[in-house]
Amino acid sequence: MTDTKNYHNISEAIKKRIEEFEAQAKVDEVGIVLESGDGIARIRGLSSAQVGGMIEFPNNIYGLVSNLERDEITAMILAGHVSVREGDWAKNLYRLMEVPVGDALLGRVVNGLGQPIDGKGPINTNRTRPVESPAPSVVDRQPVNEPLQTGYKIIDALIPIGRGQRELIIGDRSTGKSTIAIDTIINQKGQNVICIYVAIGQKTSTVVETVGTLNKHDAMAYTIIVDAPASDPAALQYLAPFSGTAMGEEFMHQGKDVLIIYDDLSKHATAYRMISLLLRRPPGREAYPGDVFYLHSRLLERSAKLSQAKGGGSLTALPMIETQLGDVSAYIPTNVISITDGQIFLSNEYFNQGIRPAIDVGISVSRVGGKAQIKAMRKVSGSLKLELARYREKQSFEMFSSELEKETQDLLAKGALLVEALKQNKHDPLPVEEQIAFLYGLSNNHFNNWPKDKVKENKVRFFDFIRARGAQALESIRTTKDITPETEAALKELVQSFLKTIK
Amino acid sequence: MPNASQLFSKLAELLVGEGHSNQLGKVSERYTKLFTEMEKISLGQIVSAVPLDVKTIESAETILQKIFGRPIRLKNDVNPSILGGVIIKIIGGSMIDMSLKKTLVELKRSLASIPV
Repeated sequence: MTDTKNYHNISEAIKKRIEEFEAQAKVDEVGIVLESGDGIARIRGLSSAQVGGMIEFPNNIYGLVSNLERDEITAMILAGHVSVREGDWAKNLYRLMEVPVGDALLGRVVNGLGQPIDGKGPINTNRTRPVESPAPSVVDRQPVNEPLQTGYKIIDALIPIGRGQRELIIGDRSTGKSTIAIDTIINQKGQNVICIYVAIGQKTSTVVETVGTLNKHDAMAYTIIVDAPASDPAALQYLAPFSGTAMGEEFMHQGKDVLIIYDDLSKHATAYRMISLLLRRPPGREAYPGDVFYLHSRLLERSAKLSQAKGGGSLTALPMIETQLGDVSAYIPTNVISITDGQIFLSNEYFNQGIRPAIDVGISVSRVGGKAQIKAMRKVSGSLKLELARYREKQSFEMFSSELEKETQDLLAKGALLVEALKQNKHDPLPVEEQIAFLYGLSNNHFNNWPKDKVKENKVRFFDFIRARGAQALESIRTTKDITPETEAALKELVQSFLKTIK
Repeated sequence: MPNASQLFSKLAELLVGEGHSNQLGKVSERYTKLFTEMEKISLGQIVSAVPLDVKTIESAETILQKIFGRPIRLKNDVNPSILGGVIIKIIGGSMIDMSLKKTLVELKRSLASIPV
């Protein structure tokens, strides 16, 4: 690539650009910085500034106008704290905050302003979108009707997610929230879904690890990472999810399907609380400002399934919330639960019992995803949720198992099998047709006599077997999205011949 | 304040006597505004890398009068960090940046945006 001809081209391009360059002098509206500290600048003047507008400080530092008062405005400084000094000028740029968008961002790691931070050079796109933009209106939408496969049996079968849905992932720290999100990205390979992962207030080392995992699974090619690490000023952490959403909207309006992950909105709320308090807005419950609900509702409302007239694109959101000791009734968790179309609750208790993913099916729900589930999956997953719920209800009787009636014993045995069977390793997403084949055996009671300690091993062998011998049946499920009578017969045959191999 | 005008001394006495000396900045700003409104002129600053002579400043004032439609009084401030050219700042919120530093920064931005 770097031959002499290329060098020549580059130097020609530079020469041409210098020749064409014309210094322009224009009258700018400027104000004077009265006070600057903690990432906030108070500016006298700039009477035509608008909220959400951009201003420029010396040395290419930008600010976001936040408060308008009679003679002064307050702006968030989108750079390090000491970068703007008292007495500096601040120039009105007469435009709203924007980020670069388009295909050039795929595979890149950018900050909350859309600037590259992965050392792979500038992003070659001239398209931008405003960071804040109104959500699609009623007439521009259609109901969710297409599934978004996470690759986890337990989610795709029991808490299905549709394209255009907002499904909250909620749980204590280190219960596997991010793992579910990252695996969902990995599983989108070949599904024509563009993924955006917004990391808010995370450790840079964690983000590096995430990028590494995605690279290892060839998932970066269709992924954009928006990173506002814990070391970034609160203003950038506040902005990052909105920037990521703007990048996603560009693809959605092109008719593509997009998945956006906000990891996590608790830290986003904390960053916004900090900014609001510094802007001297009145604190409310838990010191969050009054508009913290609107902060998240306007963000998540931008996820949608567009109507066919608008291209039929979608933006699916997986926001995350970290709870403290499983307390879902705190302020921010209840807010986001009420905004989203369902939640996946991760239980610390299950996690420590070795049930991974540690999803508590009893209180997890998907309000719209069921309609998007493919027919074949609906056929095999229908009874599972109820059986699991009944098992959890009776689980406390497990210790008296020998004294229980047969019916309850069967229920407990089946429940324990389900829990074991629905466990899944991380970074090992399963295609939906393989899940269906397995769940077919499970829900039709073919696996009921598996000993508990053999389930893990049998699962691995089952998938090896079905991949080797059941290609035709799997292909039929994949293309028809249904279990035809012929496929059902084939599946039954496959399951039975598999059971013979493990005897 | 032996050299201060009687009017100013009275004002200073009043402010200090009433305990409003901390408002001096705002009072000064208000008087400047009233003065410029009354005289129908604007005050401003012309920042340059080297000191400018009176003739240059006057010619700048003439040009600015055409742009803004009112007489402008400029005060020369020297700031070598702008490298060359001038920056004109008018009190009330306008700025024209014609400094060499800004031109170079813009050229740098323009070159950095060449797709490779």
